[in-house]
Amino acid sequence: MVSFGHKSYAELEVDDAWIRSGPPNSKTFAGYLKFTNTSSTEIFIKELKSNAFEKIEMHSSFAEGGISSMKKLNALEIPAHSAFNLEPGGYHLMLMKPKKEIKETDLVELMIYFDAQGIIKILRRDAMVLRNGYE
Amino acid sequence: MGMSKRNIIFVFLVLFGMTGLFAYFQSLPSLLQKKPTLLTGKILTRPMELDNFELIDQYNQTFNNESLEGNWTIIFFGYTNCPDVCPTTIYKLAEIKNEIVKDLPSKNLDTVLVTLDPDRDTPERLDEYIGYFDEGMLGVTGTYKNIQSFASNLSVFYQRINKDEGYDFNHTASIFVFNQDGSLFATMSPANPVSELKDDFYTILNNF
Repeated sequence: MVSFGHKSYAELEVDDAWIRSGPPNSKTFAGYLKFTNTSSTEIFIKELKSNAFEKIEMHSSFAEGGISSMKKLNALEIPAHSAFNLEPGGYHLMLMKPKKEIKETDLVELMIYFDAQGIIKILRRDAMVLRNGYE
Repeated sequence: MGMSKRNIIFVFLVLFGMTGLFAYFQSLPSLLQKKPTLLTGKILTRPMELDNFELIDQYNQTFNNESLEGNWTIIFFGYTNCPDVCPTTIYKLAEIKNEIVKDLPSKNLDTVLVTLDPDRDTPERLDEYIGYFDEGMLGVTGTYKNIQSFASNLSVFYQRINKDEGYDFNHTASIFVFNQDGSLFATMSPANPVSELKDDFYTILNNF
């Protein structure tokens, strides 16, 4: 298992960003990471982009009444002074239409557009690594 | 003078009552013997036999009622375009199976993914997908009708959800455990921690 270092840009920290590797010809991958908002206001993650995928959506997997479903989210709210984990079987990034085949050793660039206090739009870059497993 | 009608009825009632009591006391030991309980699901009061079904696995081999006989089998439903929950369940089950093979070598446990998406999930696609995550697992597909009747026999709900690009499925999340006779024995929820799922499989395999 490869882990990626901790990165911090002022109020939003991102740790352990990874993509679950998948079989050849997969059109969608799931991505996971840990957000920490160290500021005193909520942060809204608005959009994500990557050099390796045509499109990235924020999704939530959940089970209600024994039925497993997936929901697309328009934004992800990270409350003030809180951590928010995207992890298997829950909140995750849906990475769609890879631009080329992704190999285990690849580092995938991820741009995170977020919005603090409803005014500032900040772009930050992180990288995701490919790995296996359920946690 | 013969017995009055009322007396005859009374004798029958007593006989019935005694038979009932006898049956009750006969079954008492098994009623009192508590079935083990599971952390992540439940054992059926009585194993449920399945209707006949006919599906096909990633090696183009028939998968039917007989395929469930002899070994314990875990079946769950999904589709290969599901990047989050399905691989998570596959990894969890693979880890559990590997430990059971080591700890309980006399018990054989098969794991099977049944796709709800026969359009995209051909045997070839299943081979590619399952082979990547867990070579020991079976991936099963079939005609719409056969998948539907197999799913409905297990009361599995599923619904195709169309999206801007492609489609997903909402579906029953349970995993289904079948005994060596091929009857449905227990159901569990795979969202639970691996340690709890593992405990439940040991409970089942050690007691039955």
